[in-house]
Amino acid sequence: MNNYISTITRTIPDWQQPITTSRVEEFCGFLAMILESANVGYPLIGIVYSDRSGIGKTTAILAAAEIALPPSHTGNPSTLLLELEPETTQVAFVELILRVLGERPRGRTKSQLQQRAIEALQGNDIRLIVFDEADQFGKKTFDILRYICGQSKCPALLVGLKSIREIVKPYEQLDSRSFLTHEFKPIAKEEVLRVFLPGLVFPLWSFDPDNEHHHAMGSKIVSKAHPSLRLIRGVVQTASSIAKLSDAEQVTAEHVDEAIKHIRFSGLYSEPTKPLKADQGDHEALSEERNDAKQNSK
Amino acid sequence: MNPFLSTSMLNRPLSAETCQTIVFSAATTPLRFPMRPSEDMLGLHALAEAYGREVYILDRFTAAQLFEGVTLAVYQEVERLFCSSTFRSHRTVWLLLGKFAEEVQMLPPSPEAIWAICGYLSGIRDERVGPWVILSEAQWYIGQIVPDVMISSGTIRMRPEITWIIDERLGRVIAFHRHKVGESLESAIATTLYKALCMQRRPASLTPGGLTWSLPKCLVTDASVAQNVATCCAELDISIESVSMRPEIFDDLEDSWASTLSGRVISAGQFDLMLDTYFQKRYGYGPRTNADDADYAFRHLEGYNRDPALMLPPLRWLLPAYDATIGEDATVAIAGRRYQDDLLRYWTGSEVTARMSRHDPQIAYIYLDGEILCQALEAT
Repeated sequence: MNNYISTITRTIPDWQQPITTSRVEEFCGFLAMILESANVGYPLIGIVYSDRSGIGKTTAILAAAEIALPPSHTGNPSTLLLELEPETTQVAFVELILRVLGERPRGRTKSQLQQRAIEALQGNDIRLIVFDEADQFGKKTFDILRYICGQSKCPALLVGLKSIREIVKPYEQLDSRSFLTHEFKPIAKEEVLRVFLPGLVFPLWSFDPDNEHHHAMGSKIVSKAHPSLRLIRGVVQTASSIAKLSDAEQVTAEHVDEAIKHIRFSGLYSEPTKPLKADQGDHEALSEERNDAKQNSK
Repeated sequence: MNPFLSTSMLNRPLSAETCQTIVFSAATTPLRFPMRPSEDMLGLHALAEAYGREVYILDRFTAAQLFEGVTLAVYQEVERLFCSSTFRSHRTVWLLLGKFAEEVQMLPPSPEAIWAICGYLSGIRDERVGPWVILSEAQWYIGQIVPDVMISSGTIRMRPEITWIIDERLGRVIAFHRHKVGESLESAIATTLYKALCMQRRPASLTPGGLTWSLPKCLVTDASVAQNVATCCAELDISIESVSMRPEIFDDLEDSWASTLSGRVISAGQFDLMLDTYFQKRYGYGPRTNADDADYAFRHLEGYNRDPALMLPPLRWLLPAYDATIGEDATVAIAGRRYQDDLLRYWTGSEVTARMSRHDPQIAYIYLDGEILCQALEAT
């Protein structure tokens, strides 16, 4: 049984072991600090942010969930991994907590639901709540999050893009408590070659960083897609599919070249000129392309 | 109002025929509180044993003599005092009428007359306010456990001592109580039993008080039971048995649940929530969760939301009891609160026992010589 309950839509497939990069280890260490704060009686609200998307924050959450969470008692999960809808309301936020814990809401007012959520967190011995895409939060959601976590003595971890710091800052009460922050940085190119690519599990994919051909293939992927681990994974996944369709025995540089042709890289790994609100995926890519095209035409 | 001060033209002595009917009805109707031998001034019961029920049909002269001083107003006052949810005994009603009569320097009615009227009204009282009890085949086990967990209550750290009641037929915990610091085992058992019995009330639209109570037939325990618990069970027709075997659920809690909490210190409040959630998730029934759910679901129902001890009088034996004295201001002071009722002024200086309501601490039940006198409210 998992030690956590997750509503995060992006998941690691069962056949893919979490890849423990240096950033994942850093994240686990930061998470341990947040957990320890509850043991000493002052539960914290921590913030993990990055200035770009796709570099592995969500995957780090899921990887940490498998290796670094506190054990639960009686086999019930001890951690909640929650992904909120954009502009979620206060009541929906509290109802989400009750729903994932399998608790019946008692009452319809915000106050009644709040109290029920606090009791549910304490009764289920939830040791940590992790909020992904936390840059989507609004002011009111932050307020209720602060109240619930404070009353239930449950630490919280907010994970999102850099803009989360701008969202939190005006709310001094929350900011004064969130004095543990951690910037999630992309892993180095060498680590991609040494740790990430060898750890990926796809049909016909095999990567030995000491093999010259593999190293060259990997370097090409890294040069196109770094620092986005999502894109790197996407290239390998596409190359694997191409190799499978070609009845090949393993993924080769030709398959990688073909995969690169089909993946849109433009604008997705360039340095952001302004804080990003959220990873919009294809929509953002199209928007960036239009912007680039306008600038190029000028 | 003092019934002996009534000046209504309709306030006349009861007719002899009415008195005869009242005596015969009371004598031939089983009473929850039968008349004590010392109150049977005519020796009717002894005569009835020798000569049959016909002796209860009094002649007109004897009936009139027995009911001397009992007017319509007195009869109505007896009905008001006896047929209330306070559930006074006929003896207490007689004492009260004696005080009313003494206040106006009149002779009080005879105890047999009051006994007869109360017996005559007992059926009416049951119809109006009598609890609707259903005795099931359930058997409840009362036990104690001290799990190997550390909890903190203020600055005190300790292992929690828990008294709980298990429904052996359903295999689940229906009530539990974590002992307060310094609380005795007898008090903890009373509190736990009170919680368990309160959970057995359910709304019913056609019953007096709007409730039914589904009670077990038997309580099983390996601990000694205090007198108040024994009295409560006796009045509810629940037998008490001794046993030395523990249900398996005990081992589950001690071995599985408590061991996973080793090394941690948990606040007392959270401990209660965690224990209740564990019961809910493991056995499908968390006592506290289900009680809160029921309170919420039935929050609009008058009968359900009244003090359970008012609706089921034997529950009052399980309330915390305090010895007190009625002050000159006709109030009773207990646990930092003062309670008042109109009837207390007749017994200023008397020793009473006050049982504070668990439902609403602004209510206390005042007992005089072991019998309920009144329901007092906190003085403002």
